[in-house]
Amino acid sequence: MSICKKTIMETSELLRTKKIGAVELTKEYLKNIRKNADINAYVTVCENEAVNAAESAQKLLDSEDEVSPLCGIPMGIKDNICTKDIRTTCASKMLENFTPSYSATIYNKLQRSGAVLLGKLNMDEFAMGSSTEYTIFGSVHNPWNGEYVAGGSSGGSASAVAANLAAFALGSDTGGSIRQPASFCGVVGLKPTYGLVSRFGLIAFASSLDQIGPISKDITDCALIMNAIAGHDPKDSTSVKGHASDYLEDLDGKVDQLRIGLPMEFFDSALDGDVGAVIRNALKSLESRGATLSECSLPSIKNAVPAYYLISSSEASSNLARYDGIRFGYRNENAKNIADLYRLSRKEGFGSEVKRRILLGTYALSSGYQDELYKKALKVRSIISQEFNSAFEKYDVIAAPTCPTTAFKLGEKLNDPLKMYLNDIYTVAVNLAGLPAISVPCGKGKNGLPVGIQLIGKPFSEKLLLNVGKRIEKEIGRLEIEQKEGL
Amino acid sequence: MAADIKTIKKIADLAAIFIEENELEAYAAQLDTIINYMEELKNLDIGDTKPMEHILQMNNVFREDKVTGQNMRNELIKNANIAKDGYFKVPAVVDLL
Repeated sequence: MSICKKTIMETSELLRTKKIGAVELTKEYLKNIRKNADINAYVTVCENEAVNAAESAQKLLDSEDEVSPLCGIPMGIKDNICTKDIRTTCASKMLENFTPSYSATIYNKLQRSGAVLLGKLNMDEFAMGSSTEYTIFGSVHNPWNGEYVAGGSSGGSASAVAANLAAFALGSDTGGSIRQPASFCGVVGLKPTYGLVSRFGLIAFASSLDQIGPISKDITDCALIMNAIAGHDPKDSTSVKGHASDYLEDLDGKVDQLRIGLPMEFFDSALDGDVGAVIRNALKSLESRGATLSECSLPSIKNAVPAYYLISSSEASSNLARYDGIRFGYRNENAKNIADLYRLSRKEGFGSEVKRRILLGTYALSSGYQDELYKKALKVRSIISQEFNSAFEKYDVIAAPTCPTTAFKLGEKLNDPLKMYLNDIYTVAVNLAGLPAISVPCGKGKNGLPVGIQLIGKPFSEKLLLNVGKRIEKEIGRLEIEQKEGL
Repeated sequence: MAADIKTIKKIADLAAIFIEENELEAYAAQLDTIINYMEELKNLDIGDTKPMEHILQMNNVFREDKVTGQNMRNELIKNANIAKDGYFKVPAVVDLL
């Protein structure tokens, strides 16, 4: 079996027992990335930096008795997370030549653990999209079937992990951007509670919703990455103190006595029958291990998509005002005055979807519409949050499909923005309420494409979610792609 | 129509994004569809609900006012497309009469 197919845990054991060297391992991954260039997962591959980092990791492995399980492990990072001296583009012409002078806190943390950065991963421009087709670097292809999308916006991250082009990856999730591509690519994706993982160095899209999280091959790896990245950061004023814990501890998959709520709004007519059957099968396996399943209702979920797009676009219109063409980012060099410099640089630097969202957000915040659109959306957010709170009085976990369908075909929704937005119907409410949620692979549809089940918990219940995910993984097993010839 | 060409022109101006004349219609049509869908929210009777701007009970977060990174001018200016003598260069900001 190719070394790149192994989990972090398995690989770490091989590194510690000297069955493989860190440099050799990194080179194997780099080889795999080159062989699978057609997936288009990476926008920047840092070959030299990766080999240097692997050499340093090997020194640590050779000299220290206690090293992090991430020491020497090759990873990929979504290209909206700042990496000092390594180009960080947000897959936008606006930032095509931007090289940050500082690193995101989580990248610093992972570097200190000895993890090796292979490169930066493709995404929808500024994380706005659900298919990783809105990118200046070309669409990402689903590793299970190249004619289909990998999901988005962290499509590069999910496809890289699924195709063994990184042992794990980091993504960001504003309305489903970790969970949906994880579901489409058959890997584990966790959106942590808002504030649990530092956002310092994450290029802002919608600040009250954005959250960084791991994408991994299995649940244990996900817990292990959380151990490295969770925790308070003085550089992020929205990061919270005292909630990080040891996510590997007691990860035994016990679910007896667990009360699981199944919101009927997530099992509605939008849900593809085939996907529904796979989800129900996973739920049955939890029931057979002692969990109780009960139908419940979150009636305001139907308003989540419009509320989400109004709030996130409003925040984006404000956050993206910083791109003025002057201190960093794309600049139109022919502008004769300052107003034209702004207007032309932003016209040429942003892609069409980003411009649509800035316009939508500007509209929702403009005089005359703010009360009836933006404020109304904030009220819906409040109601959705209350409905989740009430549900968590009765249930420990809420389970639902991550997406209404399996991956859709490349190009299918590209020219219909509203259709693309509706794909996020099951994921956006979690961000509005700031809750943790994980997508766990639980089978394949008749078309051979992966299906993910979404587990939603109370704030800071990541340990419980990982544990339920562990049970599903034990019952159903990991979904693995057949490797290409010669690997 | 929620978003006609006139509205798009106005909000594009507010957002400081130039839109070509021949693109206005397409933007108007797409945004009109999207805004009509969003306007479903207008019909909800939720007048008394408190708006939720943020999920956390946010208070001011203070830290000691200590300088940690200094003399980064050269490093920071590297990302500017046009710089001169250590300054960012911009076109005229004040119009001459």
